Amino acid sequence: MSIDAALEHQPILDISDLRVTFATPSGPVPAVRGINLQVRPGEAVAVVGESGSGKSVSMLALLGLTANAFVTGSARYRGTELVGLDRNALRAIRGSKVSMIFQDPMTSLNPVLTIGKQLSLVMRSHQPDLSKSAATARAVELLDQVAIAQAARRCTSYPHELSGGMRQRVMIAMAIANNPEVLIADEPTTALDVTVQAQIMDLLNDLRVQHNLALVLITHDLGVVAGSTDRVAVMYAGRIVESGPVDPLFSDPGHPYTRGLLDCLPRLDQRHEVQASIPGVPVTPQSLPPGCPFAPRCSYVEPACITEPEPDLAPHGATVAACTVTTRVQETAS
Amino acid sequence: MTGPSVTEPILRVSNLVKEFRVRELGRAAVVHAVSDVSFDVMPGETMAIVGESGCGKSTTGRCILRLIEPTSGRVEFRGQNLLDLGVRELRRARRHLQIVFQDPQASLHPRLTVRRLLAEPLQVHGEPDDVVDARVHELLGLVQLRPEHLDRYPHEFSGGQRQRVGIARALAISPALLVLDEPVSALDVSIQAEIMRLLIDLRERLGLSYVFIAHDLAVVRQLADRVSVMYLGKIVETGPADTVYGSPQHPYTRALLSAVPVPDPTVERQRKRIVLSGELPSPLAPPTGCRFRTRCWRAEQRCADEEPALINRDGAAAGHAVACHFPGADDAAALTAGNYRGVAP
Repeated sequence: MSIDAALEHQPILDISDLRVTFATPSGPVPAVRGINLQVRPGEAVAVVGESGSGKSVSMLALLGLTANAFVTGSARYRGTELVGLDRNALRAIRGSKVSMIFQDPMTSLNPVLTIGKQLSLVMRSHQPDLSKSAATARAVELLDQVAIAQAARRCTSYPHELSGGMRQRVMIAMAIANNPEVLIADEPTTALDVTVQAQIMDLLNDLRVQHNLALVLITHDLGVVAGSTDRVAVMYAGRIVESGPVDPLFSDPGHPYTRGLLDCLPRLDQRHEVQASIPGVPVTPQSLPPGCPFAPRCSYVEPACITEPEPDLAPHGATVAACTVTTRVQETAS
Repeated sequence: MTGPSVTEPILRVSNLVKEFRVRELGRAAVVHAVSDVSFDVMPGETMAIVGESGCGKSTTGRCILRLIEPTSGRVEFRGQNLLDLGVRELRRARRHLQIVFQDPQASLHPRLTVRRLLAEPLQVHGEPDDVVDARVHELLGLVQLRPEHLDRYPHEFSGGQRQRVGIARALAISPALLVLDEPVSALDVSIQAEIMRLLIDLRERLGLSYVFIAHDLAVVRQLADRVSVMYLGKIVETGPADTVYGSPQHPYTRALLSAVPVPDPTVERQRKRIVLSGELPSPLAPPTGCRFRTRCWRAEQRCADEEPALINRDGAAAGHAVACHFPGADDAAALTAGNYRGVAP
């Protein structure tokens, strides 16, 4: 194996035991409780979960974008520890080597600056040698790359003059402006219509392949995950409850929560008269039950799930899952 | 059910038009939000109106209840045109038509308890106190909430529970028809299914008719009897749900359905999709002829000159109508036009 190929298999982003706790008037709230995730160049990894599962917070925390949060553990980009890195050093990496696309482009773009100006700012803050005219030229090139028609003219537009899909394309252009190696996309298509969603996912995948980007896709939509990612990590109550390659995770999920999420997805290619659902509501980090946090909603629950500490990830077929019941059942079967 | 009620629609919307007068760059302009929309809803039936943002589906829903005053057209409920009614008569008619909104957080009064939220519509319609109290408890059971929830405020509930309150409130005065405007799109996936099941259950138990407005075609599939697909203020295709989902004829319906991801990696990787090019035209100046032609791979000169009527074509299933000069299931043109995007397995 050549050195390049060996590097290729090194994770470019290596998160281990990342914990995020918010200080609130009613006491500390553990939003992320120790997650491990590795992402390699050119790979697309999805972090899936419902609201409050900690999926966005974990990614925001490693980029130093959480206020009032106590972050521990480790998140290394090419060996550089991001957790606890001083502000200036972190700023040099954030938006340049590791960049992020936010969910709602309307609130993430500056409403009083033109698209071109915002793109130049992003580039010139990381590349001080870049002249204004060169930045403008590159801005046009970027808009062209994200398939915005009449890119030169659009550079002089303000965000409100663009449609939702176009605004999300601008966000993507901004995120790739400094040739990042890691791109974190937080629900990039949730605010968009389904036909536009398809366009944006195609664009992200094209960019990933062209630039060998490591893509972290944060989403609640397993449908989007199925066609566009290599690996999936499912989060519940601040922890990863299952992770593995996309195919086995869909065909033979190891955690009852993953199974539940898949079962309650409405599908166009199959008509169910009555859809399955997961009883109860997602737990909040303020009120974690004893034992496994999914136990109150779980149909496989046993007394030990409540009395014993929550289980760690253990092999289940081709994935790893944090469930003692399903992993034991599989062991006895095989 | 017997008699004429089986064959007579409970709701008949004909030639509904809603235009908003606005000022655009200082000039008077007209937003063509809903243009000549017609459909029937039979008793006990669910008609789904689907489309993307800005297609006019919510405006249509609100026009049915006259929450937005239509510009022209007819909205007949059990044979009576609601647009002819005065304020008092309209209020009386609204006993039978209610609406559930998308975001219960925003549509429930934050400083009223569930008890008062549910009692209010009954009091507005002049029910005596003892009836109100009994009915409030009955409603709670209907949407599977518990009596101890009565004295709580909306913010004390989860999203799914709040939407149950929203549904109970709409059902308070025993309407015959509910307009459901994206009732599950603000909810988490694991909660959506429960609310859908509740809606299906209520429809059976109370014999309700639904107008179900949604952008999510997979969600709609679970309960719709018939589907109308809207694009830029017009219905482009309508018919029995199985027909529209099974063999869509309008190019827009085909693109819309093919864009919905399938939560199965094997299927998804091999599936071919039609990815629409271009942007939605402005409803201030919709294209001449067919409104979809600017993004359509089948468009010809005729599409610009002549607006296609929404009609049942030869060989089509009963009740299946398409507004297209070149309807069909052949997307080969999309392939050659570069619209087709096959993801290699």
